[in-house]
Amino acid sequence: MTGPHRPDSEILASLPGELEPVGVLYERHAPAVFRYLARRAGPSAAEDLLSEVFIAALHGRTRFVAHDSGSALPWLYGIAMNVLRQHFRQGAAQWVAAEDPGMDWDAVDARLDAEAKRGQLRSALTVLSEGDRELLLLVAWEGLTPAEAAEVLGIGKVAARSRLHRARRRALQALDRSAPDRPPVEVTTVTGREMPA
Amino acid sequence: MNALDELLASTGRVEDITPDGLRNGRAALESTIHDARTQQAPAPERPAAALRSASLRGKIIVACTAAAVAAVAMTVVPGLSSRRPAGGYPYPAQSTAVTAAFVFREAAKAAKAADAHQRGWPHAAYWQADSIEVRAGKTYHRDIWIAHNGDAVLEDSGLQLPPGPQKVSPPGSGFGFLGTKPGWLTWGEIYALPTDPAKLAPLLTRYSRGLAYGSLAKSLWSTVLGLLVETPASPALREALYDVAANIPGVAVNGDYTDSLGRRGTALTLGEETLVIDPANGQLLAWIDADVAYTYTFQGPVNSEP
Repeated sequence: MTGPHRPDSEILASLPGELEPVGVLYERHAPAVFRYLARRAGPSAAEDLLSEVFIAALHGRTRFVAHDSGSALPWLYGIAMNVLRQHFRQGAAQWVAAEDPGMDWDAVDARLDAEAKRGQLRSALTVLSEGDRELLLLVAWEGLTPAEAAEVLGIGKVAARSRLHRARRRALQALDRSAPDRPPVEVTTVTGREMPA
Repeated sequence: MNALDELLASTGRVEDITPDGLRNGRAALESTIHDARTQQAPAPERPAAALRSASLRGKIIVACTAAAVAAVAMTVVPGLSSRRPAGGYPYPAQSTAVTAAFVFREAAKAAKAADAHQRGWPHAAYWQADSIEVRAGKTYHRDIWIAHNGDAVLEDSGLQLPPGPQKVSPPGSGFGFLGTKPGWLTWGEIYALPTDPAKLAPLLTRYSRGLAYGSLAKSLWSTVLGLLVETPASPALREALYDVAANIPGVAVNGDYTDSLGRRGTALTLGEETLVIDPANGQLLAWIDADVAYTYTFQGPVNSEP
């Protein structure tokens, strides 16, 4: 099997000695990696960062360790995660970095039609550690299995399942206690003043 | 679909990359591959600067360095598994001769004896839980007053809340988890739980089956903690919960523990969750959930909200 029909596992296996297979991975997975980046940094930054992910993959290809799923995506998401962190730390996104080193929440909120819902996901996820939040989002946004998400984060599969469950529980609890518009939530302070919606 | 899943689904929808964006990214990658090939350099073994065009060089060096740093950070973030304190939080030393069962049975006796000293429980207006939370190196203050009908007044500097105490909970929502049972328990449901360990243990075990903690013991441990932490569980129920915990296999005594208030207790761990109790009085001092640590400065009945 050659070229674009080769399974990821074969391409990954050939990576240490060859450069071109990274181009095949780009053709195959650039749209998914772009969506990963766009969900966290917005579409404009995602276009800028996309090539950096694959160039970093090219550079780090000898450090790749084969995993069970056979898909290159967990590996590429792990690289994208690190590229994003650096992006948020650097000057182009200083105003974001001051708030959150892993997410442009304005870009996230922009995808919510209902203004009242904006900020709710941030409230729910802010109680999680960065790793648990990424675990939850890899499964919810990227559609990875917990085992694949574990590969991205470098943690065990069993630990990933329990951490995912705990993260969902904790996020739900935070959402339940802080969402201002979930009926019949009261939106008045204890002094009786009305809170902004 | 619950509210969290709805939010995740809504925010997960993004536009696909444009054809131009896709072509530009591919061109940048091809340029890098070309540079690497013409310089006849085995890419991964050479310095990053030799592999790519001048316009990309700076970015890639930084990205690869960041990747290495992040990879190291990832191995220590989980905290509990690596036995590192969460943000300087005091962590118990590994030394003790007593068993977890002994500690829990002492705590159970003390919890029962504490009944007479509870200030008006269960007729007090609120259950208050005041805690210091340490997460990712930052310290937050959390204080919650839970009324009988499930309403709560919450102050939590770790949540995105408006300043000052807030009424945040829908009536009847309750607090405390019972394993796989959806949502949180009401006060009424907590009162209704059996306080005979022989009846409580099978009930908790039934609700723990299906939790994704890797083993039934870990799931049962998590269920017990879900009923002990920040809930208006009665002294009798706490006694029963400690009795159930005494029989969970694998719970390890992690040694003596001194919290940030100078209180001494015993840390008990299974999986990624640690409970710190003072066996002399049955008081819950702290709960460490993976990489988040809560020190409970007060848990008990009170008659007024802030």
